[in-house]
Amino acid sequence: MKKILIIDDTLHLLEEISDILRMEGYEVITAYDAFDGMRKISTSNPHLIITDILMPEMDGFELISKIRSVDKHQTTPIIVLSAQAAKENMQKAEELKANLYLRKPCTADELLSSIEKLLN
Amino acid sequence: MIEKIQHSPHPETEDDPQHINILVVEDTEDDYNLIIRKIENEGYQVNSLRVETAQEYEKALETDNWDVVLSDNSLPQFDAISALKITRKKYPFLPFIIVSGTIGEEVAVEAMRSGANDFLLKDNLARLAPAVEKEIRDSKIIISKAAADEALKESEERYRLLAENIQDLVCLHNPDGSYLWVSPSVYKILGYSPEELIGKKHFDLIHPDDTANRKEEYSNLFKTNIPGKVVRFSYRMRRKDGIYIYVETILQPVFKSDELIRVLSTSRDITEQKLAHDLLIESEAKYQSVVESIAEGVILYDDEGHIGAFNKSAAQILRSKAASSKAFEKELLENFQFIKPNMSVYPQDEMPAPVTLRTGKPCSQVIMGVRDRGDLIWLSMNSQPFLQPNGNVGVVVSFSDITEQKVYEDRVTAVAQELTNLIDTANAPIFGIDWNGKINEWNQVTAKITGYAKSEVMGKKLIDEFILDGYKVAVTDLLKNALRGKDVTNYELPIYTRNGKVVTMLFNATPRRNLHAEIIGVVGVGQNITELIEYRERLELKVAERTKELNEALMKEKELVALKSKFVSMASHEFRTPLSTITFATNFIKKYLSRLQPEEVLRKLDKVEEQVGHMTYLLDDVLLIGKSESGKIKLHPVVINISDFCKKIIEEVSHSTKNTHKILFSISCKTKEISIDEKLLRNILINLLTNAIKFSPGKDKVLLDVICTAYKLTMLVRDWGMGIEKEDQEKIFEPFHRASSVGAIQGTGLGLSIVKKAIELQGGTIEVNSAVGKGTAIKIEIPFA
Repeated sequence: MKKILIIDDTLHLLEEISDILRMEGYEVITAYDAFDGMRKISTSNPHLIITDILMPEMDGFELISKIRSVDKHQTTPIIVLSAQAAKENMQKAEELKANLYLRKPCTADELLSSIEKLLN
Repeated sequence: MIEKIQHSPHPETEDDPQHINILVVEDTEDDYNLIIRKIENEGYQVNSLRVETAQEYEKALETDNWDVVLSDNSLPQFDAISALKITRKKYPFLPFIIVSGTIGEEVAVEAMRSGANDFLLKDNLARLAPAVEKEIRDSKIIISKAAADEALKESEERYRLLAENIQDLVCLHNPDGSYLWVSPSVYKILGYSPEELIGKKHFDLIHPDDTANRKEEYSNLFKTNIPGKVVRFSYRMRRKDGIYIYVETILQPVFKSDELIRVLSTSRDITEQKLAHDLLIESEAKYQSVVESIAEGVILYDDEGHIGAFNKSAAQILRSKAASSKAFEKELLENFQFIKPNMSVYPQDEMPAPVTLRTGKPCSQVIMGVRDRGDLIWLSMNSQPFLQPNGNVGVVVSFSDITEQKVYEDRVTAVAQELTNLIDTANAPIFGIDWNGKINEWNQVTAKITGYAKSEVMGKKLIDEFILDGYKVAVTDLLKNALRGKDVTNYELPIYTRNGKVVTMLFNATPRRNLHAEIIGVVGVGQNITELIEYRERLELKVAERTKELNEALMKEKELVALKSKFVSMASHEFRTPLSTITFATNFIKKYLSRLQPEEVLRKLDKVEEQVGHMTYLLDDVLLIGKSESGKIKLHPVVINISDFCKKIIEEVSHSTKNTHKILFSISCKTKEISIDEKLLRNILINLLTNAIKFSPGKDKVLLDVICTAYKLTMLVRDWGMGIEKEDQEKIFEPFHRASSVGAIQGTGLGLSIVKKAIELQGGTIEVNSAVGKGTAIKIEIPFA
């Protein structure tokens, strides 16, 4: 069973994504901010990470670069799920070696097919 | 040794013939007495003296007036020949008789040759008295004859000198005119010697032209027989060399017993005088013709002020036909009116001729009008004193007709005056300077603007007195340029006025030229643009104000644009998140509906409703902020019961926050009814209470205190929650700002910014007092409108 970590400061969104992924048979771990996310990555070693960008204290970019700085997570698929549409954000995410940039709102199918793709 | 014998008186004749002074040279006393007695015996009264030496003899000769000397021939220290020699030296005619004892023939001859008058022997003195008598008598005759001869000689000599030395030609003529005697001066005058003329006739030497008509007259002159009549006349005489000279001759007839026997002529060479006279005549003629021909009128006044002479031009200028001076004078006095340049009557005694006559000083260029039966003639008159032939001072007056010039001058003067007036009264400041920068023109407007009268500034330096320090160099250059012929236009020139104010002139400088187009200064024509400048300055100030306003507006606009852009990005973000939740929830239902329990579906639908509600609030807030930012919110105060209002809000908030906190409410009001914008107050209160509850999770109460006075409403909302960081306290009112400490607490980020806008709209204040971990108190005050 694949483990997916979701990091977002919006609790009700976190709940909705979790509900869907669980229905699809993934093990879901949630974190409500970047620090929480970092902790949970090290403790549970997720197969895929979904993160928000705009978060208090540490934003998603910083989180991504930290994840990539850990040897065993250099290739762990990361999906950015952000309300931000600015090009530079997408570019920055790519530079930091995020695997995919999804813009809110996206559909459940879009998200699920992306996850499936990245995990295979 | 010398004896002087005074003999007794002797009967005398009337003539006193017997009185004899005898000097005797004799060494023998007896012989002397004998000799004297011998003479006395003849009836003479003798005064005698005996001497023995030459010295005594010489002295005796000097001391008395001797009639005769009787001398012995031979004396021990003296002798007769020596005595004779002494005598003859001084007294050639004093009778000297030798009376000797013996005498040789040779001595006698020698004595006689030496001038002795006689000699007698002592032993034969019978002849002594007669000899003495005779010699005295002869001597007297000789003396008187010699005196007569001398007198004649002297007289002749005098005449000769006179005749020979006089410069004039003196001649004696026979009555027929022929020369009898001619003075030597003839040689100098006529070149003849006196002898050459003797016998020639006087007429023959006279110039034929001069004798032609007067021959009779001349010949008569020599025949006239009026004693003492002197005739004087002049004519030309031919010199020996043929040249004629002018002479003036006086003829004087000489009569003897009523018969004309001689004519004495005295002639003088007057050629030089004659030539001088001719020159004078000629010169006078010339002078006369000059005076007559000149265009100037000339009038001579004598010392009594009467006209002595006048020339043709004088008569012409004054339109007079008078022929005589008298008529001319009469005409001047009776027919003419004399006028001063100012058209007043010219008083007679102020006119040039009387003035010069009175003062002796000349008058020049006196302008005088003369009116003669209507015509007005203008004269320029000079007067000058001159010495008349009679020795008195007269006046010569000369004048010319300047009527045309005067009329022209008057016209030019009028034009000049008009121009001067034009400049002076022109409605623009006009001023001028000369080559030295000194003011020479200053019209009324300039005086008015500067406050300095023309009389005060004329001759002063423009730059020194009126130009501001900072402009002196520039204005100096400017004026120099103008003096070099360059026009200066539209130069703004600030100048000092009397009261210290500075006025600005718009200044055009033009070189000022004289009739010969030479630059003699600068004329400045200005325009007082002080008001314009002030207006301009006011305008500039206004523009600056407006620009500032515009800039402010622009800034605000920019801020607004930035805000809008921030709004758009924030709003999209804030909308996208609930939209995501809604999307996922609905996808979930659709996707797994078959596997879901109805409760699960309802829970998801509740979530969707909740997010829709949130988005609706968000939209309302955004619209409100947008309205307030663009100033479109208007206050709508209504009267409310503040206590009821608060209670209602508390209920709403408690419900929407699911009663997690108890809202403690206290109110202290003088009046319950207040006038306020209800909608805004509601927004404020809901936001503050919701925030207080939201940001104090885990706590169970918040506080609301309301105080209202007659003037304002004060509300205090307090919680015991997480508090706000210091750096966030300033930013919490910015739209979409969310304090760092809020973490995952939901919010639009618009609440406090809406609160602040709402309070500011009502002229109120908001104050934050917060400490991290201890809680936050927010106080607002809103004055009643």
